[in-house]
Amino acid sequence: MKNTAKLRSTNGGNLMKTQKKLLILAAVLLLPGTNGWGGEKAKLGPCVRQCVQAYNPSLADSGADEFMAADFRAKECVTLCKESLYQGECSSSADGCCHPEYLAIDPDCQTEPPPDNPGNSTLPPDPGEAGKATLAGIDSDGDGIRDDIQRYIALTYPDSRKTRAALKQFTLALHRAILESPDEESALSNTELEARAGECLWYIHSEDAIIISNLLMAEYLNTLERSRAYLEYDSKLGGHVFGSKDLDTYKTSCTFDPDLMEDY
Amino acid sequence: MKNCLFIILSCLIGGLLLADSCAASICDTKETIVFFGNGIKSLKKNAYDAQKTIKQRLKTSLPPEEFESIAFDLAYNETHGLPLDLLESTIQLLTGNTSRFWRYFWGLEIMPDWFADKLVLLASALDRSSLVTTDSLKDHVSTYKTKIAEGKKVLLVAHSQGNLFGNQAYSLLNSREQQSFGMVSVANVDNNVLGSDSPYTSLQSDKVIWALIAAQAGLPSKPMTPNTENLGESADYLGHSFIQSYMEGGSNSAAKITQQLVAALDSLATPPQVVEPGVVTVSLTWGSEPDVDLHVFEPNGMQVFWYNLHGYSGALDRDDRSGYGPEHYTVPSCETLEQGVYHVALDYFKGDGPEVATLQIEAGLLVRTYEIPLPSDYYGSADYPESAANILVKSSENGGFDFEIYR
Repeated sequence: MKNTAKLRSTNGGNLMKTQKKLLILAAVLLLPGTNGWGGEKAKLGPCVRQCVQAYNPSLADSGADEFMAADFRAKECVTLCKESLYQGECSSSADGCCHPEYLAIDPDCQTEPPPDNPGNSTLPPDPGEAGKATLAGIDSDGDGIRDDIQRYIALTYPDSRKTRAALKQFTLALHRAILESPDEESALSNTELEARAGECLWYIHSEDAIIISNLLMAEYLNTLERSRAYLEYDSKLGGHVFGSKDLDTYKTSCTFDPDLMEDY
Repeated sequence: MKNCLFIILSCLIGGLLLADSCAASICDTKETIVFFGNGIKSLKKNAYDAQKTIKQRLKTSLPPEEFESIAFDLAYNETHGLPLDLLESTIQLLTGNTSRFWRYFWGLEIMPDWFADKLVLLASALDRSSLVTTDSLKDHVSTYKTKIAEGKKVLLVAHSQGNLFGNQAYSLLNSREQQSFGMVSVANVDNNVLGSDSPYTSLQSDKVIWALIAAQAGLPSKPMTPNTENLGESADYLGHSFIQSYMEGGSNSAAKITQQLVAALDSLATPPQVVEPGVVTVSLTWGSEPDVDLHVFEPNGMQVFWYNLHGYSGALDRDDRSGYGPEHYTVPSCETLEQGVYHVALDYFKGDGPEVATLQIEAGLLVRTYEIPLPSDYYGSADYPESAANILVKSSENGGFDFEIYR
């Protein structure tokens, strides 16, 4: 049922627009349930009134229909209420459907895409030199990403959730490459993960993906042991032939849906 | 609370859209395969980035229908330890900072002179004759031959030492195959392009090329002289990087290379189709002994071989009984592709001595080549051929197919 959300338009506006919508939506969600309401107007009316007043608390409700019809903000509220409260629609509440415009508050979006922590306060501490002691490094929160790399991604790309998600996919592939490629067969298998992660990043950033991924790799290969392990993995790939997807199918290489993510 | 019908329909439509877009990549038959062949400074990741750059440039240079008829593959050449040697020899001067090493190596920071000198020295010191061996090329050549046998044109974009590999591969094709094989030469460290002085692009600012020319002054193997100049400074200190120097947006070299690509695509001859292409193909070749047989057990249980050429899923569209092969099995389209395991097996049917079978399997984006020794013709039988490899086909999460090839 998660796929429903993937069909929706994701041409969301900027951050301010989203925040404003979230405020309005919070007010909308405070309304009583829609069960037992009569016709369309009966369903929409209270929602829109409350939405308009949440949008601008100073606006007095005269009780007249003109109150809503005349105000352009009311039109936006009508749209919002239709989207959010109609039976059968995907709402931002826990309903088994992730609404793409409310990724931050819809509980159904919290498992898709993978959660991330762009803010410094929620990041694991910098492991420092201790994080360089082993090939695998330190992953204190067990998310599969080394703590230093988790911090690098979050702090370097705080404004792009899809970039962070793509780089985590890329990091997981690198991790497999250096830790789980003891022979040629495993290296050949793991390089497919790395290739798909690169295609996903390319889908998001086009040619800039090259620099973004190289910068990440320079951070990831931050010890001699890790650099040697990666070169050892790469040496097992020499002489082979590799296919690639068509450009217009690169999105399918992502392990998440980047189109569901606004850049914040 | 929900309109279930809407959601179900949405899921179905969404699934179909994703399946179409995903499946199209592997199910469509392409007329031309453009390979990228890297130099020894490129890791596989960098080579793959170069291939994607070519793809992006061609997308804007070709009519859509022509672009869609091209598949892009990577013929990855081994680095012969150059990056590791460079790392080991510079790490002390870098006071152990390997991140800085990689930033220099990938042109993310301007490399200092001493680093550049070390890199050029190591590249110049490599013995060209030991770089390119028939063994290191066998997978590439085998793939080129298979593609041409499937009636496809093959164009190799070769960068740096990739030119040595490309020229050598060309020499291992027969004259008919050579007509359908082309090469666009970039930063050519060799003294020819497919045995002649065909067009190539080497930058005047390429310090690696000039260093190699100096190192081989007076020798017939001396690289071809740089013939292209870019205006303005490049972020690439050595001027040798395929992406940062040669394909830099708006540069003379990028325009010239793209132009040569388009011209080469037009000039290649379409080869006659000897075997049928498909979403899964298995090619078997061997030496001079008369007969090695390919058997494929399809997921439905059908055994496809010389006595039963057609299965429910695919077919043996070429059987050979006079030595060398190829024998060829194909699943022609996604319509007959089955989920499950295709077991590939061999029977050394007739011969007087030991033989070596080369098995090349392509499934989706995967290509694997195996060499299998056949000690004598007691190896397998028509009823009980020896297991050689397996192809696992399963549905992917987004509606297409996922493949695994394993022995």
